[in-house]
Amino acid sequence: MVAVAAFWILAASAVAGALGVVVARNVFYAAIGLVVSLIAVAGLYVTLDADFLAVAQFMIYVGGIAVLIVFAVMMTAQLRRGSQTNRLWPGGLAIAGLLYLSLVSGIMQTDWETSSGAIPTSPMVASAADEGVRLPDVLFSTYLLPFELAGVVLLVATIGALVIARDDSAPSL
Amino acid sequence: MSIDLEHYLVLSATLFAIGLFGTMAKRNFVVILMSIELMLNGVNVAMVAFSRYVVPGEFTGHVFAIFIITVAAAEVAIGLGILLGLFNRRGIVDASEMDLLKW
Repeated sequence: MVAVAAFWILAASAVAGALGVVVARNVFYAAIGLVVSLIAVAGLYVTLDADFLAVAQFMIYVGGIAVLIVFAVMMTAQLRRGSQTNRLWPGGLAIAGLLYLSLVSGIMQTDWETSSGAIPTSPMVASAADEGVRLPDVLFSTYLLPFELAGVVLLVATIGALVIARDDSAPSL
Repeated sequence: MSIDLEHYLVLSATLFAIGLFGTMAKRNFVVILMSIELMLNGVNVAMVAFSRYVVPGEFTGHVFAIFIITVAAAEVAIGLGILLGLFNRRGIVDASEMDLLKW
């Protein structure tokens, strides 16, 4: 019962925050809506027994990405144009609405093969005696190469962002 | 009533559609980046829900979600770098004025 109530509250917050991002005229309010939506999604991960992902979501998205975006909003605040829609927004609304309707009808008509097997307790609180597979076991064996490649992607992105955002007029070191 | 896979999938589709609308209809480059983050978050919710309901205990969807979060962080870093570069050199944050590659 608590899980049902938690799902509906978190889902409503996530959708309300997401609507705030696209509806708000002020870019800073849009950023606040994004933070609300990201925190609600982190709570949804908890209801899905994904504790590690919930913490990672909170630290990376809310702690890192949201701060970066608010920083960018303040850096570009001289332009008081706000968050306007472009000329083609009715077409965008139609495409997004059509995609949404087709996705929902596809979800409702599909007979999902959900597993009725025992659902393990949360991976982070599972006792050491529990012989079940855990997230690090998968991440550092089967997906070791993608894991290392993700590190390379982050390194390339960091250097690329530094090179792109560098001010050419500043004296070079 | 209980919460099933369909609930999470419909929520995921809602977040994705809202993000898609924002990506297509907004002019401010920062808001477009935020909408892309919303879309990636919607996909993550679907990934974790599938992992929880279809293959519980195998964490396949969790691994996908971790990689999506990593790529999203890299994408925001590059996107904001481009934004600051454009703002410093040409003073624009409006995506419809970014026509450097048009002729």
